[in-house]
Amino acid sequence: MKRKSLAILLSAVMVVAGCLAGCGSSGDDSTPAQTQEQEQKSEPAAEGGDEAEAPAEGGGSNLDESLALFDEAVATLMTTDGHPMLAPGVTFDVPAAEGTAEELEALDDSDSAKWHFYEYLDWDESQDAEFPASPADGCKGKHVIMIVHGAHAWTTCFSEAFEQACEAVGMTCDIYDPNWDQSTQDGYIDQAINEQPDAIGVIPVSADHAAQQFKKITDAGIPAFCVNTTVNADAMNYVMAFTGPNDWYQMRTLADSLGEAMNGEGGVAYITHNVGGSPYYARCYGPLTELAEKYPNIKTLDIQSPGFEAAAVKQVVADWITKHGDDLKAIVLADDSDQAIGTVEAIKAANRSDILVVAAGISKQGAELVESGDLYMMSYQSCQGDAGLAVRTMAEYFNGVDISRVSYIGTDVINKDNVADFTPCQW
Amino acid sequence: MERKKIKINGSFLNNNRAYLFLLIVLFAGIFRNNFFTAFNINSVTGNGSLVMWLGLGFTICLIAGHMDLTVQYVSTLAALLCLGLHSRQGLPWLVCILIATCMGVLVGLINGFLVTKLKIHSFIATLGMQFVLRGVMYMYSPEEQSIGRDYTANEALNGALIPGVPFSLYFLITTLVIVIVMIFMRNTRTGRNIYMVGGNLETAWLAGVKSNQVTTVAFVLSSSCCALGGALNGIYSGAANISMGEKGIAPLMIALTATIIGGTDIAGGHGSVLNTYISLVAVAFLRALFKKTEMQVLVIAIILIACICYETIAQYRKSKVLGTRPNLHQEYLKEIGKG
Repeated sequence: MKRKSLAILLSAVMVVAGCLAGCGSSGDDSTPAQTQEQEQKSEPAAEGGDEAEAPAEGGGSNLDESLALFDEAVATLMTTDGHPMLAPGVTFDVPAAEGTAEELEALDDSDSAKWHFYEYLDWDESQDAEFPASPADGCKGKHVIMIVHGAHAWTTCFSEAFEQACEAVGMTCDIYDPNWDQSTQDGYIDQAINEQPDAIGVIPVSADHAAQQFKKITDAGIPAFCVNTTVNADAMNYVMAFTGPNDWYQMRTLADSLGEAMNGEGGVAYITHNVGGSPYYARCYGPLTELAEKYPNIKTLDIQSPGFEAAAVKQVVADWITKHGDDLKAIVLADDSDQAIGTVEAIKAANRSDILVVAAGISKQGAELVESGDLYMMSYQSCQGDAGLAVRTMAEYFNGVDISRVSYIGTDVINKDNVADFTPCQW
Repeated sequence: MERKKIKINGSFLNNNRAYLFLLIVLFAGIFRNNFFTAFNINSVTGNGSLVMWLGLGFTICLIAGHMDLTVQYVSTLAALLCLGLHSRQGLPWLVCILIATCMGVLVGLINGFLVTKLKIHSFIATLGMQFVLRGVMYMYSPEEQSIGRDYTANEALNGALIPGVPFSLYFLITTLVIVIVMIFMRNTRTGRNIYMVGGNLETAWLAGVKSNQVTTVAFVLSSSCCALGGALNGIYSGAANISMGEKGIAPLMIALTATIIGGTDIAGGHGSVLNTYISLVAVAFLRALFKKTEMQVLVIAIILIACICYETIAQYRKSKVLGTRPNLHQEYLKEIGKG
């Protein structure tokens, strides 16, 4: 009887464990074919002539085949709004800082010099870690892990584009989503290192904490790519390459147009991104410093961080309208979806159509609001292009091409006249 | 000497469900690639250590018959304080940890005062205290984050103390403290009094136990453990932010889940720090089984619901037997192996 109970218990344990293991594996998006390809890839690549580098039908090596795949993907893969997904990145020379980080920190918030180390990835290259050398054996068959920041419509679009771009260049990928939680992202970084992929990409939840994360990846001998969100200068010592939007530049460009529309007069209030992340600084202090320098008569009325819920944003804007009255001439938003919806609702409720609203874009809601005239302007930041540039840089690294340590996606200012060129929206 | 017979039945499984849970999770790990590597074991147990501290605090208070909803916030504030004092004031790590732990003692004393002297229900008192702590955190760290730039301390806590043993120093400290608290709860008068106060306040009073004092000790022990764990976690991860755990799976919820899985009675008086610890180790490995956060949340929630359902049904059956014929209860206890 006792033996029977024990046998039943052990069987039950095995069944439940099997179910758990099955559920756990379901997170692995690799198809059996991809898994097989992965296993082949893990064979010593440099030796050549083994099955992993089996010659392509045309007779080329894995590298030749990868280069052909890459060229084809660059030429054919398009974003949903009709722009090349794997377009090359934009680079530029970083201007010299006007002091040390400590000296600049003491400057006024409206002085653009203060934000030098936030705006530019200006790090001491002599402190760079030893990065793993490119295998230069082709991107085809490589497996990468992308750790995003959290659940959002933008992230879904990014993840899908990343998978699409990886597939186009012959790579496989897993995407981990820590749901905006710092400690969960730390856990995922450990998990990713444990999986021993060919590269790890991270969109850091926190710019400040990124140094620890990238150090861990680089110390494990895995190339680390920072995507979308810029990090502190000391983190760049452990980052193989950064790719993403130039948030500061696009928000400054937006601020230029806004200042002109305001005739250089009036008050501006700001709704920020999540506090601590790089978009928080870029989308608030980028336009703020630009307006302060070029339009000294434009005043900053307030800066608030109510998050991304339309109702919370609506309340903040309604309070501003009550408090500042006619002084409030414009609102700068870090997000063109829920933040824009809340803002527009508050403005309509107060019947203050004279308030100009600009935002960082571009989402479906944002494009609709620009078309309807509720949103005066927004910046163009291609989500799929962002994913594409990350994949392009990783593929170039595997292909043995010299990659730039920092490269940005292109940008534009969207208004009612040209919004059709950027639709249908990516997310 | 008569050997104690082990009968494998529903009661046995229920009493040892934490161990069974761990066994299932570890068994499932066999089917996953790279699950039992030294790196994975080190990182899973290290990353899961914070909730072990929270579970420890929560269990102590629950045994005493109270809820301590401040555990997560005490640990976050302690982490912010510890990193902040080190990076802003340049204090040595040990002093920072000590100050953070003292903060925990203070919070425990306040919680104890609110519950024992002002007679506020612990749920309400600690819920209110949560907001106070959040306010303090925002005042202390307006940018929501404190960073520890000292990689030496960070690497020391991440590193293995004993070569070849795949556990970080942080996890070993956590385990050591849990063992000490377990011994305290089982083998000291104050520890046993915590069980008595939680089980039946009237009996405790009749037995001459100073229930207010014991309750305060439980809160102080809970908060100080959480503060110590939070401070160490800040150094271990190199960062602390106010919203820690709020957008993923809240550490407080994991601690609560593990406490219940570990068999601690929600009504108080019964429970084990060790069982909570085992449950939390199992939860840490369970999370590593899944790559997707939503799956982690779902599975943990299902296990919690299953445990609560079992507890409720068992309670109902017990009440039914007791209400009909009290003498039958003794028979019932014998039948389930508790007689």
